[in-house]
Amino acid sequence: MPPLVRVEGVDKTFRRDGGPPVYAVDEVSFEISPGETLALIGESGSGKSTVGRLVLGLIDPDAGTVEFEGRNINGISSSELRATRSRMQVVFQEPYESLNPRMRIGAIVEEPLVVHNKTLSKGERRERVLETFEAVHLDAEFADRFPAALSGGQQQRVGIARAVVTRPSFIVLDEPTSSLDLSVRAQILNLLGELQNEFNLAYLFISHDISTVEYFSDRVAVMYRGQIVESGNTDDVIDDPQHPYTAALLSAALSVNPTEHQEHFPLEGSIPSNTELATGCVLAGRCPIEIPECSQERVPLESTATDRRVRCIRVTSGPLQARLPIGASPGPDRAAAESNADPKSGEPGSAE
Amino acid sequence: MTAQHDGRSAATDAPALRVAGLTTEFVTRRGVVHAVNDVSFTVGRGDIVGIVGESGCGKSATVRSIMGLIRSPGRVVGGSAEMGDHDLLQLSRRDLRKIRGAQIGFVAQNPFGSLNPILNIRRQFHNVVNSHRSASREETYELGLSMLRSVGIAGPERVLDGYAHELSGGMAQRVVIALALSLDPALVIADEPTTALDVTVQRQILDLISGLVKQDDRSMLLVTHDLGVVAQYCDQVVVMYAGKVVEAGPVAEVFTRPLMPYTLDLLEAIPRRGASLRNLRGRVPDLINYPTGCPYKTRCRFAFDRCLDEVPALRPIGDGRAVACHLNVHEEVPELASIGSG
Repeated sequence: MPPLVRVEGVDKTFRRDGGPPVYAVDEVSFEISPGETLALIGESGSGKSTVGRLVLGLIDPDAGTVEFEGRNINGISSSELRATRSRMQVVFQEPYESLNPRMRIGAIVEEPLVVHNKTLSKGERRERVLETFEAVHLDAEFADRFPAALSGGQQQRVGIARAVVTRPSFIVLDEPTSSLDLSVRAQILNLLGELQNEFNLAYLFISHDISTVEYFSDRVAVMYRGQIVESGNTDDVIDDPQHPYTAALLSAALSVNPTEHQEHFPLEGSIPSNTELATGCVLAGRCPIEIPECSQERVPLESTATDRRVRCIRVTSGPLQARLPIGASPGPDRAAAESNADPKSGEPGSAE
Repeated sequence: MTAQHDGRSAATDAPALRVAGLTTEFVTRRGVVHAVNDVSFTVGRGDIVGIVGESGCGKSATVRSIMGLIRSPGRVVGGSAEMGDHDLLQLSRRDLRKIRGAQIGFVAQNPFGSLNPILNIRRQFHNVVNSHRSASREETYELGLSMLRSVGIAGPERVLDGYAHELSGGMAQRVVIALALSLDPALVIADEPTTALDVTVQRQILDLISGLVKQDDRSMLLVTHDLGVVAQYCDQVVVMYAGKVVEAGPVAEVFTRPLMPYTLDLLEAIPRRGASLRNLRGRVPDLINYPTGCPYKTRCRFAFDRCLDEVPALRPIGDGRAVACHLNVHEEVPELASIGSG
């Protein structure tokens, strides 16, 4: 089956008058199949939301291509883009901010049909809206209310209803549960899972929360400073992270089981500004297994197994191959890694 | 640091903080919001106690009440918060200010809200120290250097001469922690100290602050919505719902064998691979028309007739645990007993 979404070598730099350029997205490639969930995980400023906007055609890439249902969505006419948009939708983090406070909920959910599905009669639209209310478990009585009268969870149901009402094949979920409380988050995740089964939806799930990604996605791509540094099946990546950044991100997630103590794999310092372009590896300067070569040349994303790619020369190039100093193997492998390492970064995340 | 801590020298088994019957309301046009209802808990010496709950459960209002930061239209209408010989709720604003800083260090969620944007960091150390005792610029500069080093800042001279806006979020929070500890308080109160930070920075900051608290035998009250933070960093936990304490006890016990259905539901609402996600029905009750009976009754899987109109009191059940629930916790409720380490 051909992929539903194909992103190939996409770059995006924002240039403003008087300010330094912001390097937001750097050589990002991935594919999403129908009915599949790909998670993009990263911290703030990693470029994950910009990737979402590029995939939706809301902004154009500087280089590379974005294909949806086999067609390049960049440079197509606005009427064609509009037709495509009814098949691809988005759900944002802040439900309230994405809903027009002066419109009633029924009209908000109906609006995408008015824009995209012009062939539907008024009665058919009405019927579709009611079906959609039911699909997202919203009482039909909410149709006459305004967004401010709803709770955060109900508002997010409206945001989701608005996204699925045109019966898309693909939805970008941009941190859809990050502003919600724990109990509401569970309701929304369960709902998104139900809708995916019902409508065979593909999701690009943008998140910084590891437990949610682990629960919700089939595959994951880890972003740092605009690049995908590692990708693969979610379980494989979480069970055996190969890129040091992935390991650090995973070790930062805190288990709710007090008897389970995860080893910490800390990085030095903090994320550099995205106005600075890395000459070599994007993690150079913070990485515990860094060697001088790391900061000299751009690092390619290379396959290490089927559907597994990593952007780290310590992992992908033979003689220097290192194991990350995490997990239950602080033994010989770790010592080897350190003896190769630049003394400057010699005392890495000394597992304390 | 080996200095004598104020209020820590005497009776070593007295708790660092004992809150009893704390009740706080906010008067609004719609009516009185019952934000904190008869809240009692104790922070033992050297303990890190987590207050956990969803938004609107009263956890921030609780610590703000203790610190005397509730302003009109809010008011503390009852209870006590004893620290040493003082009841913090009875102190004048002036006396309370003396205790804050010197005996209670406060770390808020947003570090940039805690730092003064127009004074350099050096000056802020000077001001904090001089609000409690007179100290020379040289002395406060030296103190600033050593405090910044203790929070893991490598170039403290540069940071002292700089301003808040030059710092990253994680660095700014380190500076706030250094300031909060600069008067060597016995108790640290941290309100969501890492919620605004990136996840990889969150763990650095939590390791740092919990390490500094433990190393100098301080106590900490840590407010968070993140059950993982409680599980990994706290000794004791206080679970709040609708302005009430519904369960409390040692984290190792409460999180592996929760007794209040709300605690169980929260733990099961955390996404986990291969486990289904608990759908909590309904929503938090209206704190203006406060429900009769148990505040969790409409969402509880185990609710029975007694829950409808009889308020469950927070009762001790042994092993340092307490629970506000009508279920007989010594009987086996299969779901409650089976979650274990799940």
